[in-house]
Amino acid sequence: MVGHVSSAYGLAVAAAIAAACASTAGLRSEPLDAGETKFYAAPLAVVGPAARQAVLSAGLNVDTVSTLDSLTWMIIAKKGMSLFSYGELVRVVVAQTPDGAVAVRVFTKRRLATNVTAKGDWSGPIFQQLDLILAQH
Amino acid sequence: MFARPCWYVALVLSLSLARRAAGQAPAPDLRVLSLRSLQAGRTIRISGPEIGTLTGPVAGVRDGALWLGAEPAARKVPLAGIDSVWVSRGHAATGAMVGALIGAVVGVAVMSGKTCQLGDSGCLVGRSAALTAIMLSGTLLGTAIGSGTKSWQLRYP
Repeated sequence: MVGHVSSAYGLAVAAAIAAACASTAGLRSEPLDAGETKFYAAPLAVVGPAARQAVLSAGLNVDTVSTLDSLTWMIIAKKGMSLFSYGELVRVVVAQTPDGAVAVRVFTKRRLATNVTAKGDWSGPIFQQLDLILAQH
Repeated sequence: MFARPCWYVALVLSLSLARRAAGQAPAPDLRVLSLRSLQAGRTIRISGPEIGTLTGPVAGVRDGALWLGAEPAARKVPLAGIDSVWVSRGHAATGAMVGALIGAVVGVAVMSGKTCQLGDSGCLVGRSAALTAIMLSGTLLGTAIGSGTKSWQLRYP
């Protein structure tokens, strides 16, 4: 009986962990307006590369930089595994808005949903670095 | 004879006007864009020389003003008077996970002192239920503490 209960608990935990694992493909398919948004008055051609630089300066590793169309950049970055964290995935979408401003949206996903020591939201440090980089332009 | 120069002058004039129009394109109002992008109900903090510092949930942006607070008692703040906008971030998810983890540890520690006879399914079910209840309590407590712990992020300028 005890063995059955333990097995059931083990299976439930394993299933929860497997279901909670995040991937870059999953991150790409999330809605583009998901995450934290900040607007900038600089051109897209300036904010796009600056966002990439900001991601690096925030301590993340850039995985891919792609242009979805002429008005939208997508940057996928990763925070690797460490002693205290299983790692995180970060997506930055830089998009020209019809109002003339450029919207930067930062969406963070823990690689493992149960990873309590992960940062959980990288928008703060990324916006902070982006503000600094754009202030130099 | 005169057709081509007239056409040319018209083209140059229109190009010049277009360039001037482009040069005079109004700069995007980042303050309005930032406030409009916020979900209703999200807690923000705004500050300005005339309004000081105000904190509350966003009710909406209309009539050149930000409506702060729960309807119908929302307070109207003119957009022109807002110098900076901060958004709050709760830590409910982290709190819930930490609470669940602590609850699990406490539950296992409490249950370790109690033993069940082999085949006593009632006792085993009771132990599992107690462990689950302790974990749930930890999760709820962690969520409450995490929700109350706020950090602020600058959104404008």
